[in-house]
Amino acid sequence: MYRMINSHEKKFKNRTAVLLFFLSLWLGAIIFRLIQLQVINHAQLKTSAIKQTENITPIFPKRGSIYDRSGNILARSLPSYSVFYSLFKEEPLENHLKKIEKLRKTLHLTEREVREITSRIKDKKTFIWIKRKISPELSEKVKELHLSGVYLKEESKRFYPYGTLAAHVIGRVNIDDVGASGIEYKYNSILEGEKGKCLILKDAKRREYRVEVLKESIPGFDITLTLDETIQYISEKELEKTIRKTQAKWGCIIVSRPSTGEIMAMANFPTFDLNSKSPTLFQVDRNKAIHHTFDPGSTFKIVTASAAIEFHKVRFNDSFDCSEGAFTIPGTYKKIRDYRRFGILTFPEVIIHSSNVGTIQIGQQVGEDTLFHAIKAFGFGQETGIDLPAEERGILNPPNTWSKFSLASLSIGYEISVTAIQLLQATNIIANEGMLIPPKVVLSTSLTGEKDTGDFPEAHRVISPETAKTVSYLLQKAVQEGTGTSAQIDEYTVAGKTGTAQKFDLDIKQYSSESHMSSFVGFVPAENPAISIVVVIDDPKGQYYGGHVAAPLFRDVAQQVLRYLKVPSKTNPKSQLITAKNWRTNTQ
Amino acid sequence: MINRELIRYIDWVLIGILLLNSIIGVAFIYSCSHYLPGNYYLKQIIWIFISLVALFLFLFFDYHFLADYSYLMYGLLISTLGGILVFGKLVAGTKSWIRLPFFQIQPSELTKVVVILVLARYFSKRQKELLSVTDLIVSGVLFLLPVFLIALQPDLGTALSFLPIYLGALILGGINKKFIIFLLIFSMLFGFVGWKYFLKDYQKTRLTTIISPNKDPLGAGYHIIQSKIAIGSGGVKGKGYKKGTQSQLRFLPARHTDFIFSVIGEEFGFIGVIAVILTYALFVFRLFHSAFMSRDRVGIYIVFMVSMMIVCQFFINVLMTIGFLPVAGIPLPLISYGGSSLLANYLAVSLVLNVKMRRFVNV
Repeated sequence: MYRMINSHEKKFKNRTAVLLFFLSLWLGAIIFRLIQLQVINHAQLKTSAIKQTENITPIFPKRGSIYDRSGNILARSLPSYSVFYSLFKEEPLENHLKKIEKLRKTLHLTEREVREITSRIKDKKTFIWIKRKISPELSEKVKELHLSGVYLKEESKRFYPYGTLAAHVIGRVNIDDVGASGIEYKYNSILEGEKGKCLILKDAKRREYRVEVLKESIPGFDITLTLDETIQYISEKELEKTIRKTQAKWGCIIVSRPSTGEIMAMANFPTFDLNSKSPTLFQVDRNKAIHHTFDPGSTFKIVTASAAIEFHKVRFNDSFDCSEGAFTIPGTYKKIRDYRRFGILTFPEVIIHSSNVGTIQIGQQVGEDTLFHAIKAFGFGQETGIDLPAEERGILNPPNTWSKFSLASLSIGYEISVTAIQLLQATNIIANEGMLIPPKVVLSTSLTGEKDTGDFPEAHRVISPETAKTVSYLLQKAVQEGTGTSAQIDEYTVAGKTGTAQKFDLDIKQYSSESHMSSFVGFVPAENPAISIVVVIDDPKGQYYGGHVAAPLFRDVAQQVLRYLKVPSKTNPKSQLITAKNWRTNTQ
Repeated sequence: MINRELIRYIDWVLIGILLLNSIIGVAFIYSCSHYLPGNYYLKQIIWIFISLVALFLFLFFDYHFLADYSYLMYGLLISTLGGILVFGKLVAGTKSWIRLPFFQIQPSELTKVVVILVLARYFSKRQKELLSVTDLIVSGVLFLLPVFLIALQPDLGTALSFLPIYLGALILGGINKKFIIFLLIFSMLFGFVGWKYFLKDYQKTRLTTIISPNKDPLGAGYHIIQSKIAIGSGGVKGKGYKKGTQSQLRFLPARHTDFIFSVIGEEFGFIGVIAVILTYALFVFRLFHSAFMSRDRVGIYIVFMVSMMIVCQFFINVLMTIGFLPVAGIPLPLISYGGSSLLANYLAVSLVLNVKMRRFVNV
């Protein structure tokens, strides 16, 4: 039937058989491989298949807002967009660079940002932030570029309507909206809310085709501060004026309501804008009003005087010889001087004129242990517990480590370091007739729902009301006739104490005669204190006495705040009429 | 040239299996491209009709007649290939397409059929036990000329898919053992020189990626990894028709062309791919078997080379999708989307039918 040569046919058949044999070997390899992939590695490869379509991402909750006591928004979160670059396809580098160049123009990227992005592209990273938290308008422009691999992610951005106002108290958040300083940091857990979870199914081009919410996010709670936007503004404005005039290094002012410990203003200068992204010096960012410690100097005589009266170590009419203008500490040659020779001073006069020589003699009568305990009872050497982060406690050494100078030094406010907030808290004890009411800046949170008014679990008595009244009287006199005359305000009685301390120079390990810490602490009206204020000015040039630098600032701020709060004055009790504003401030 | 007698001897079973494979192809092309614009499955159906018509038209001509005129066709196609290299436009990086009013065609695919005819014609005249060196050189030039032109397009995958055709001819012709060694050394040298001087970087990475695809999972290794995930995640039973996430969500590249086997593996699992392999085995076996029914050497050569061409393409494609061979751009014959390849394969099968149905003529 076939016209083929037999030997040829046989050979052909053999060769076909060998070929088919080899092919079936390959077929065996294929089947082996298919079993390996589809049976043995099935579970693992199935997971890979699911993994590249499913994506569980967190749903970020809206961060709570921060309000001042009247409901003005100090911090809130607004929607914003972040641009990222994510490419799954291989592309030549020039293509990437072309797109980045377009983005650079639209988003005004800095050279450094471009360099970072480029190096990440070269590292074949699959997710690269281009720019975070841009405005909705800018995001529209990015969309119009229609660049492949460039995506927008909706995020929220923290916005501070008042910019610099109360910057140190409010604090910042980092780029991921986690509190980094101030209230934002301290109350982060309340403000941030709870993250939700979301299952996103995506195709290979990263297009989402199904989104399933596994867990809803819970928005953060709002926080209302005790700060008053107007008082804060007045304080900052006046503080800046003073710092600029005196060319001081730094200064702070705190305004509180003594009866509740509520801080109505807390300002530092230099300050910064919470909305600016440019990194400020860490030093500037710090809330020095609660962080910076210094030797208080004469303002501390309030404590010495209180201890002397409370423990009956001096009588009101006791007199002290200050005629030499200097005091030699027993057993040493060291002398502590007054700023002038006073002659014989009575106890009140010592405080009113802030005589170091007199106060040291009072201190000697009070004694080491009693003075130490009084200082401690006034809250020094420990945190006030104010609801702000990074509070310093200062340094108060126990009597067993004291030297021969220590008692003398301490009685006039040296060898101790304190913070401005501690000074204010101590002064409030006098204003509150002997009760210590710790300071606070948070009025309420929407977490608890209620405003905690009049509830001071930590309030306790430090000195008797009589002692407090006596000291208050001394402080009024100090303003009327003594060192604090420039703190006087028409129509109101001011109680207060100046302080001028030499700064301890770490380089020469001595108190410097060139740089000073000027301070003033006081409250007004003395009979029924509505506000108390501490002012600290660091290293003013030219005039440096607390009475010259800090006291006028106290006066300027207090005057405006009293008017704003409509505090009844001596001659104008009419303003006691209940208006909406003072009703609110009185009841809050 | 054709009469009723001949029609009786047409292998309808082979045509049946051919169509079965094509329909499987359409089904999976639909599955992995129905959500894309372009109606690929419809175009494929049209191509099947065109190819089927061409297949039957081709049957009118006696294969001896075709073999006798093969040099003419060869000359025409070589000049066409040369022409598109000079005048052709770049499409997807290669100059392999001829654009016609309603469709475009790759002459390189049709060249395969002509090369089969030329080689069959040439080798059938050699009656010795073994091929002489002159035979090898002449046939080698005949074979390599179009391969080089296609490699220049550049379409390395298609160029390489010519190799099995020549290999088939050599197996049949019979070659000296010494020459086999020479060929091995030559091909190694060829490979080395090619690697060093001719391969582009992307082609090199494709070759190295086969060894370590995870080195660059989103770049060069992407195809292989996604294909393996597709096949593996299908498991034994598969995810169901049109339910493969790898193909439906576009993770798998070249789904309807080079990686359609992975789509089958994902949606119909191990059972599905074995079924496809079996229908293919049936097809290939019947092709090879046809060679035994050939009445002369030209016929044997034609059938054998056609069988080699189709079976090797099938193997290369499958080995590629399971990660055993580099991604070479060779479609799964009859199943993958692509008109030119389909037409070429139908014409090749037509040749086999031609040989088979004329086995009794002039007995």
